[in-house]
Amino acid sequence: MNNPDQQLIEHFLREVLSEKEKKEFLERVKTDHEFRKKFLFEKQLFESLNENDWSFIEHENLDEVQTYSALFKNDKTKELRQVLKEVQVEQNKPVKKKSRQWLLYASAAAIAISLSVLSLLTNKTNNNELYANYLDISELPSLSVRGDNSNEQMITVEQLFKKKDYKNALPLLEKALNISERNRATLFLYKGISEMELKKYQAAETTFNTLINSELMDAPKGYWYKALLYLKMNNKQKSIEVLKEISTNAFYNHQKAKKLLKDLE
Amino acid sequence: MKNNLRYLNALLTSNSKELKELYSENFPKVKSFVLQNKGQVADAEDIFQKALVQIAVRYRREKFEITSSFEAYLFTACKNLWRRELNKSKRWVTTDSDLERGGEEHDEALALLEQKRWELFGKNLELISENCQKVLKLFFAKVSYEHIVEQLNYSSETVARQRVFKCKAKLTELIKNDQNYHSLTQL
Repeated sequence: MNNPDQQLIEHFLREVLSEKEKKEFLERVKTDHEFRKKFLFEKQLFESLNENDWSFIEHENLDEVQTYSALFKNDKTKELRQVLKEVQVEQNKPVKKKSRQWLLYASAAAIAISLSVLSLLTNKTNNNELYANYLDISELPSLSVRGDNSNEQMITVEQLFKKKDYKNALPLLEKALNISERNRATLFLYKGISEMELKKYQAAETTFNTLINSELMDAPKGYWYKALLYLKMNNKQKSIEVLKEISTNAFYNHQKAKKLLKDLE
Repeated sequence: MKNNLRYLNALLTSNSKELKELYSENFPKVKSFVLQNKGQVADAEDIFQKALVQIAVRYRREKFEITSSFEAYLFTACKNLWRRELNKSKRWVTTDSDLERGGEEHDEALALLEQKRWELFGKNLELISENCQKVLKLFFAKVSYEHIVEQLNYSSETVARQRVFKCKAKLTELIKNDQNYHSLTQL
């Protein structure tokens, strides 16, 4: 394939063509068989090797598809599906308490003590697990603005943050908050989350409170992360209070807050 | 790798005792991945079951080799099925009526073949130099040349472009020489 074609395909896949160019490109894909072949291969490469993408099959009526389709339908597969379903239902059942009277009488005190220790431990694990499940940094807005050359620093901060390198991200975020007038709410969130992940709980609480008390549009987002902070600190009661506030006022992530409240009950 | 054959056999024979163990050992990780990526518990359960059925069906047909541990392979299969779900809206050619006509099993067959193709590309990507892998990963992730230069310390965008061109040509050559290339890339 000649170089301009190669470049054209690359530009299409990297989404840098104008609307008009895109239209012309797709028209050519329809009519030029050789070009289409090259394009489809490049498209498969791009979509397979980009972690956020997926490469779907274009021609569905091939023999291979039919053969596998039949295998997915056969009795053996049906049997496996049934067994897997049963296993899953069983795993979802709550664990039954064993009622052995004699054991209760025999060492009531000892059991009471070990149970309370155990429940403390499980509580901690559960809260930590919930925290990990609900903290989703991918839902945060980006710090960098397209077409703005002055934001190299922001790009670096964001990259460090997304790599979970909070230790190096934090000083840069503090610096940015001192000078930047833009993106302040997002900067507060990045900073608070970094502090929370680094177990600087008090600092994180102050950061989220500053955001909540600010006049910024995204101020209510602070509540959600404050609720997660308390969860990580294993302070279930405080977390529930904040979550209820989110839910009553329909603040940011109020649906998630409702779900988390249920999980905590 | 001790569990590889054990779990594969459990899938082939629908052995519920072994499958219970497989489930409790592997499901929590998949669940937290899906929850952290815009999904619900029900999605995680669905994906987990589909991945297991996919592995069973594929193994029955071609006795493919799992080079990592079974657990790692299963997790990757689940991750890919979830990526697939999240990207379904972007799908090009297939329309809803195609899916209706083909039914769920048809879609599962497509997912299996897509997984095979993904493995073909991934396997060959690992064969090129580490530097090439780095630059191509950034390139496929649509990172601008300006940032590629910055991240990989190239002297200019021209150098970065040449690097991408050479690395991509190498990768393409490897893929096209792979014995499974024709059956998988014509799909």
